Amino acid sequence: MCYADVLTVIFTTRNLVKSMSSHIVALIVCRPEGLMTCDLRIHVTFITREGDQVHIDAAEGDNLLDIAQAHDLDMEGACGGSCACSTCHVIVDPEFYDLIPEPDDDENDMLDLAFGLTETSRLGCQVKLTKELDGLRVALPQMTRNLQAKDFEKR
Amino acid sequence: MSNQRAKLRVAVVGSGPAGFYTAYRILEKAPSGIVTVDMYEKLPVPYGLARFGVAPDHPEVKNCEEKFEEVAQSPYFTFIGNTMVGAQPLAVPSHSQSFQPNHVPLSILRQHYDAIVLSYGADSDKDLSSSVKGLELAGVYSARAFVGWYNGHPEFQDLDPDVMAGEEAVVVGHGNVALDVARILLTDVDALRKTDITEAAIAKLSENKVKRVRIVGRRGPTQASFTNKEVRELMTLNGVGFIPPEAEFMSPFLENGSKLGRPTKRLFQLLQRGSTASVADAIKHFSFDFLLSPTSFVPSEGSSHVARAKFDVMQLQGDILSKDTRVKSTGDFKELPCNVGFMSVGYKTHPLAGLEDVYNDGANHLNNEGGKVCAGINVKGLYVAGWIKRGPAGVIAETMYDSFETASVVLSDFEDGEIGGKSCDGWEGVKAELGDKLDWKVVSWSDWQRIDKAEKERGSKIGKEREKFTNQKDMLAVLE
Repeated sequence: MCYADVLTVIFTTRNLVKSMSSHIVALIVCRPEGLMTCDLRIHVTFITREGDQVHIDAAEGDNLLDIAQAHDLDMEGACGGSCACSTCHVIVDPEFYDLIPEPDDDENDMLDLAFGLTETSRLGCQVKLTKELDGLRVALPQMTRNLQAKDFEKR
Repeated sequence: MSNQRAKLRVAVVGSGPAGFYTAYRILEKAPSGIVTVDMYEKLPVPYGLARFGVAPDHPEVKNCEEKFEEVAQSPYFTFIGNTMVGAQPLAVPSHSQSFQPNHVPLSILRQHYDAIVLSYGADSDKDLSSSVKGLELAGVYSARAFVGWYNGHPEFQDLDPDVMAGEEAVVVGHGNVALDVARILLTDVDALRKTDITEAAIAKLSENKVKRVRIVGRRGPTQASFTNKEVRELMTLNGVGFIPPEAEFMSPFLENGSKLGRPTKRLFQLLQRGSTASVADAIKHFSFDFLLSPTSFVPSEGSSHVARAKFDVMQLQGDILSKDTRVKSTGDFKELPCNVGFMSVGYKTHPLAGLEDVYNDGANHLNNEGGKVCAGINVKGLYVAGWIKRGPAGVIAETMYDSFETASVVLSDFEDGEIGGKSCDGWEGVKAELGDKLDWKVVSWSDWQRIDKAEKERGSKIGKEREKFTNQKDMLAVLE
């Protein structure tokens, strides 16, 4: 007998490298054919320009630009996520920065042009979620010196 | 349900990224149904520099057009193509008969719109003819015209650049446009065949004899405006070797490497690593030449075709690591062989007739505060976005944020009651006022879509993404 409800299982594992526990949220999904599969949900927090924390559960392999746009966050991707501009610039929480594979030359060339570049800046379109990034926190940087937070209020 | 709320009618002049991003942001942030945007474009086709400036081998940069298409689908957006806003031709001689503009004076627009966003960009080159001789010689071209030519802009189809004149090319300027020119001259033409570069350009570039490109700038490596992506592209071109600057020239810059900003540090790494192709084995070569300011292009004896380029040797005055440091002539000069030369020293904007008092010639844009035109008489309701707002420099990303700023100023002026609520009638009103004078084919968005489809069909027949129409007549013929 199948039902479309999703069971959420929360369990704790020990992260050996950091000696810290991490929580992995997994969805155990009952598919119509009767198979049970496990889709790993990875928790990401976006900090908006106004300082609000937006909590999102996304899938492994999703990139931050697609996730932000799917959740109506104010992130543009002028080149459609093809690493040819800097409009999806995000600032990664230093705690997670080294867990993401290093940017390649192409991404670094685009980051050169990003406004408000930091030591932990990345292009959202180039950051794909992995299990190791569960709990990831990223901030949306200021666009330019002149734009105010109130300009981004949704009407 | 009656809507008592004041409405806002906006006209956007120019359909490049600045115009479209401003339209996008205004329509996105305004309450639904309150704001309409009419976008005027002098050519029958939209997108400005996204279509005519971005290099054919950079197709991903043109992905921004997908967003523009979405904006154009809004019921509150109207495209008015083949219609140039301006009382008379701007101070620019047209290079060809492939385009005849149809004018609507700005003064008429102002009667029928609450707000006008001027986003018509820069239409000419910075003019160095008073300090550089020989610019009129055969074989010397504006980089802007060359780019417009290979990208199919109707105003430049008659350029006929003489890339068969010889092996030595000189490109004056250290910005990305100069690097685009260098790259198009050095790239194997076969690599360009499937792009949207014009067939006429492919035919011409197939006879290209250029083997040595010198990219010459007036200041030093720390002052160059080009960006690393474009440098990297040149360094990795098939069969093209990079001839590096002299070691003793670079060492004062490298000594203080730790003080350099990140992009400059990375540029120096690129310059030191050099090209993928070995200099010895490569058939074609390029170099960056620094601290040379052009004084003249010189023809060969008894000819009117360029053969050499002469430069003043310059010297940096002050902090050699600072982007703002100026240069002074040393009194020495240098000559370089030059069979074909390109001037890529920056673009020039112009005010539309009636806006002369708010034009800032030195700053190369209209006076404004955050996009709101200021410091003139009767400027209420006038806004600017893009290069006419901040000067002709910067990539699409900067223009996008800049346009968002303008959109926000327009909407906050509307909220404050400074503009809006005049029951303006927009394009209908403009049409009525023009009456019989409106004797041209106005291109709508669905008309453009037919032209777009025709270009793609022509292209697919010859294995290309699209084959652009390169004159106004052919574009309009699709609509008959």
